[in-house]
Amino acid sequence: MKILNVLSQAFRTTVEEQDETILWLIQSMMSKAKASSDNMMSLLLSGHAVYYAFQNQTQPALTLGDWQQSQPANIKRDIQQMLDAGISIYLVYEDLWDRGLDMLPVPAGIDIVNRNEIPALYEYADHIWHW
Amino acid sequence: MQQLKQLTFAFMDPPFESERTVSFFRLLDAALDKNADVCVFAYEGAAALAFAKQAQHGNAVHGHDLQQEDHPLTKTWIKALQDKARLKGLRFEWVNCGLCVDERGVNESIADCQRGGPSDFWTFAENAFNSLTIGTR
Repeated sequence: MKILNVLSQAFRTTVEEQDETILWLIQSMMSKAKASSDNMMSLLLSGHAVYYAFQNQTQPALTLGDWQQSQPANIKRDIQQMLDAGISIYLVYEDLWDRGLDMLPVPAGIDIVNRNEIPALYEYADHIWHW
Repeated sequence: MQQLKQLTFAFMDPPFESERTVSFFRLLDAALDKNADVCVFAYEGAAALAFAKQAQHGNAVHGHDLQQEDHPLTKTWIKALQDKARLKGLRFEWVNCGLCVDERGVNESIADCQRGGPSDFWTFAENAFNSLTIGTR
């Protein structure tokens, strides 16, 4: 089964969950995905989610009164773990450009696609999970 | 193996916050109308949709007491869809993300809703003709 995850929302509940919930979900399914060589898990970052490719540090830890967060989300780690697990990650160029991110160096292993290339990604997948 | 008549859904919105919740339930209902087996993975806030302790309330603005107001509850909608599927001889599976249930304290689900995890969603999708994910906005 070939899955294309499309993530356009960013920083939804990353403080409360200490995770990006979709990056967590994808990683949690990798044991299933790796059960067959016919399976494929990929991720298209679009909209605000293109920021994820350029996270260089953990999310800021929240402090409320005496309570201090000790395990803030680490999106950079998650992206790297996903690449290491063989997950293809794509960024939409126009969404980078809209946000002034198009000139930043893209981390190794991440591919940039133009909007007009997205249909081919969709057609290659059996299921498209737009989160 | 893909089954032509099985559809898989993943949903993330909590009850009583978004019109997407109603649209999601209408899609499930329509799928049963078309004789599709339905499998649902309730992720994040959606894990509270089946919470057994949801309770109706009156509405002073409407001048209604509890019975008169007859306030909708998502757990009741799930039960209605379970019953509909049963009557039609269709499969209706509802799996809550276990960690999502724990962190919200909504462990007590109505009958026939299961505790599970992302691997259940993968299996649901693997056996489905297609899958639809509805994320939060």
